[in-house]
Amino acid sequence: MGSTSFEFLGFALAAVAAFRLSSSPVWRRSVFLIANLVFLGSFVGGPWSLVPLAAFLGFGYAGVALIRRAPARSFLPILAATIAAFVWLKKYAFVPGAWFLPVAYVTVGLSYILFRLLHLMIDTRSGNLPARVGVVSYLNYTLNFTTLVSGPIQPYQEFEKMSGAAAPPLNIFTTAAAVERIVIGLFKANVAALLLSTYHTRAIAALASPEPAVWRVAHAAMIVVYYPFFLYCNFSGYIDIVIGIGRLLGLTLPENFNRPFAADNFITFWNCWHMTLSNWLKTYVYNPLLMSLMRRFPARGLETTWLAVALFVTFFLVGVWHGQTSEFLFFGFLQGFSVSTNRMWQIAMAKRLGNKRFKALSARPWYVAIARGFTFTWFSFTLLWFWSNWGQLRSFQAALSVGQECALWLAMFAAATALLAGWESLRRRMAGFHWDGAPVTQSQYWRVAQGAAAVTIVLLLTLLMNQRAPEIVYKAF
Amino acid sequence: MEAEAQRPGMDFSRAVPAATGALALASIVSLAICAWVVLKHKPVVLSMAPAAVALASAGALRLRPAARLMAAALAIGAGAGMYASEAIAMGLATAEPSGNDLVRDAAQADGVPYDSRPKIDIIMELRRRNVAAYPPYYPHRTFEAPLEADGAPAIPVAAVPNSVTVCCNEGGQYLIYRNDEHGFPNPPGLWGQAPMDVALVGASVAVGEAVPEADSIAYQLRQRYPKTISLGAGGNGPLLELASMREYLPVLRPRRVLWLYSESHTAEYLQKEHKVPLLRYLDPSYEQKLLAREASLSSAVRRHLDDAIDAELHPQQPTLRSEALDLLSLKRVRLQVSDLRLRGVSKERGRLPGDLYEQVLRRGEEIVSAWGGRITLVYVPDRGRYIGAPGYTPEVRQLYDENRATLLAVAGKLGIPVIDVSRRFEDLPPARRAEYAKYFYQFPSHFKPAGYRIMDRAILEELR
Repeated sequence: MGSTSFEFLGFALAAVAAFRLSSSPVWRRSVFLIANLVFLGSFVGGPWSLVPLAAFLGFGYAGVALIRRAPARSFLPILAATIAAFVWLKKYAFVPGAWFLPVAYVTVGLSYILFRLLHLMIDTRSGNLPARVGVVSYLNYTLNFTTLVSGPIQPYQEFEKMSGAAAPPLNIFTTAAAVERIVIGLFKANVAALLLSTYHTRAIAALASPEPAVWRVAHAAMIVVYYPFFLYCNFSGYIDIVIGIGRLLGLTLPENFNRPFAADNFITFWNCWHMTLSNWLKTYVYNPLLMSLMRRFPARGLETTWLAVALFVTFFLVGVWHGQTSEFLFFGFLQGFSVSTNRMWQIAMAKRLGNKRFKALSARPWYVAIARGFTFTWFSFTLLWFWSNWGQLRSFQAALSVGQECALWLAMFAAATALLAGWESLRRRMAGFHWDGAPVTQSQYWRVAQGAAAVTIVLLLTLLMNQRAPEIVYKAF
Repeated sequence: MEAEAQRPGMDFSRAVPAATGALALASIVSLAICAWVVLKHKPVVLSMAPAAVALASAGALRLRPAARLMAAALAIGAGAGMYASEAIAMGLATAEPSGNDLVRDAAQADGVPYDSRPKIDIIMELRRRNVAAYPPYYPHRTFEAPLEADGAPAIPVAAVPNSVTVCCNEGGQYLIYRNDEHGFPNPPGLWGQAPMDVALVGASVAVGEAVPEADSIAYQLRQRYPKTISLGAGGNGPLLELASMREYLPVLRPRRVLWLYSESHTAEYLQKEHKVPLLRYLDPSYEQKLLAREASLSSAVRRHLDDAIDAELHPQQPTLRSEALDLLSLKRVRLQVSDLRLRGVSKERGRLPGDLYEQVLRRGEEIVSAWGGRITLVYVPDRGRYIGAPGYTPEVRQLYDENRATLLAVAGKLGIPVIDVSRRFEDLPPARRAEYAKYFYQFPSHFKPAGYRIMDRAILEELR
């Protein structure tokens, strides 16, 4: 069941209706559990295909219970075993192929289940999880159908607080807001992503055809530009849909995106893109690693170095998490390099100009526009290792001369700077547009018109034109 | 966002006249579209949709101001959404890879040099060298406007005799073949060698579209049965095939008739052909006397193909006005709505009508048995039946399986042997599904040489 399909929407709305039939905690938890299991079941190919995932979940539950009982002795071995089991089940390239199970099995959402499991284990160990986690709560948390496929990653404490009987009743405003969010998500994932993906594929094909140099550079630029927007619409559209469904179930799922292309540096970018993953890694990798480095090597002059190392490791892991190939390894390297270099730049500039002057400089519109253009261009560049492989990269390179490549990236940077600045300005103007003293874009009429337009487009394109939206890219991770 | 949703108190009372105007405009525009659709096309149920919108918009004018504002917001949003969909559909259409792109990719993947010239260029080049070159003649394209020969309408089933057909390019190189003295895709001189060993009756696969001649069924059969002749033509269905059997086979008197059933279209074409008055070949007394009228029919076919060449050389470009009118009248959206309606009936259209097919086969048997010949059916699969191959859907597979079962039942009842080529291609496991690319072209969907070889082998083994 595709998470942006009408089939999924129908399933989710049926689950919401059943969930809201009674406010009894037992009823709600049971309905939620059944919905989660049915959703998981939709991915099952054969009777044995669920066994490895079930075993992984069982092992995780037993692990959390053991850590609660004997935290000092059991924590590290269980943590290591969980990660090893994950690597084995996900068939990472460095594990010998002969070790893998010879049968096909379900791995949907396994990465996100791992994040939830590690969070439970670490928080149990540190005492941040005071109450014992029951089996039903555990299954509902790890297999939550709204977040199973591609997140967002929600802390257990937040999930438990909101699930079941605690879910607030729906009213016209919360329902309308949830529906609006779902509609926006459907539009992004089923229409915008479909268009961008179609044009991206087309541009790749066009680059291979014999054409004048100007056209080749133009096709290459389109290839580079379309993908980040496609990925954003694809992933954030899915997130909008599940956040909307979560709201109907009384679950406030965490936001995963906050206008990332408005970011004017790479650190801010990662605070706005796949936010729950960045936050998770900051909490469980960056902070402990930085603390540990500073404690072990407390020399004053080394602080900046440790900061850079911790940032590099954290964002290297962000990249590596995406996939098991050498392309993703390099993608991780580029993320780690970018974030740590960005931080070093900020420190160096603050030292050189002084904090106040650097802050003032960073707030200047021309500086923001250039920095935003550079951030977008660099991110688009790093994404080349995300969506393509070395072979494709070689043909991309072969299609352009060195001079043409330079022209491509310079043109990209200039266009991104101008267009993103223009977009931000337009946004501000739209938000400031008033009628009789009221902001038009926030009125219910504007939003109803916007929603009606989005619903019409989604319905016409997906139902009538028989155009299927691309799969959620992050489903594969 | 939730907090924002709870801000209903904004006062937009001054916008009420604008909302009233928008609703009135929506009503008028919808009525105009409805009238235009009814006048230009047939007044079908579909044209009632704008009428319903017009009525709803007019009705909304009687609502309270706040509700009227909301109705106007909905109407404006939905209207904007429709035109945006129209624009997106236009964009998607231009972004769709053309058949040429797919052919180029296929050629590149198979290491075949890609001939990027349009077909018309090749035809004109051959004509400059005094070769009588033509595009392929598809008899089914004359159903709506039959050709005129000797003052009477006719549907010829053969191309221009002794001409060259520039057919299609599916794998990088064009299939160019010579037509025999009666306009069929054979080497010259076979007609004088009757009785024939084998006659091939069918659609594009019987012609060998679109592989080098050496991979075609007829060529391979000729290696063992030199007197093998093909009466195939692209797009033929069972009644056109019956026509070629009735009109030409008595002269050839073949011992074996291999009658090809193409899974992708035979069932649908049979239903279409059954409605064509000039194809009433189920009536034993009916014939068009195609062989006797060959000279005048050849001229008619030549004129028909020359007209097609002329249209290709001087295409009608869409004007800005026509494009604007298409956009305003939501042409693409309307077409898709009709298509949605048709999608419901397309399954029925693709279902093989067992009774009718039985009559066709029975009539074919009567014709062939007149000189003691025998018919063998060849079931030619479509790639859409195999999971993971392009065009596969569970519905398509189910339909093909049902049609196959019908065909086998009918053939079994009449005692006609069947060579089932669909069983020569297996359902591959996910890891091997890329192998389908070895057997089928990406565009449109004919067999590649490797696919033809499997079919040739299956036929030769069964004929043994």
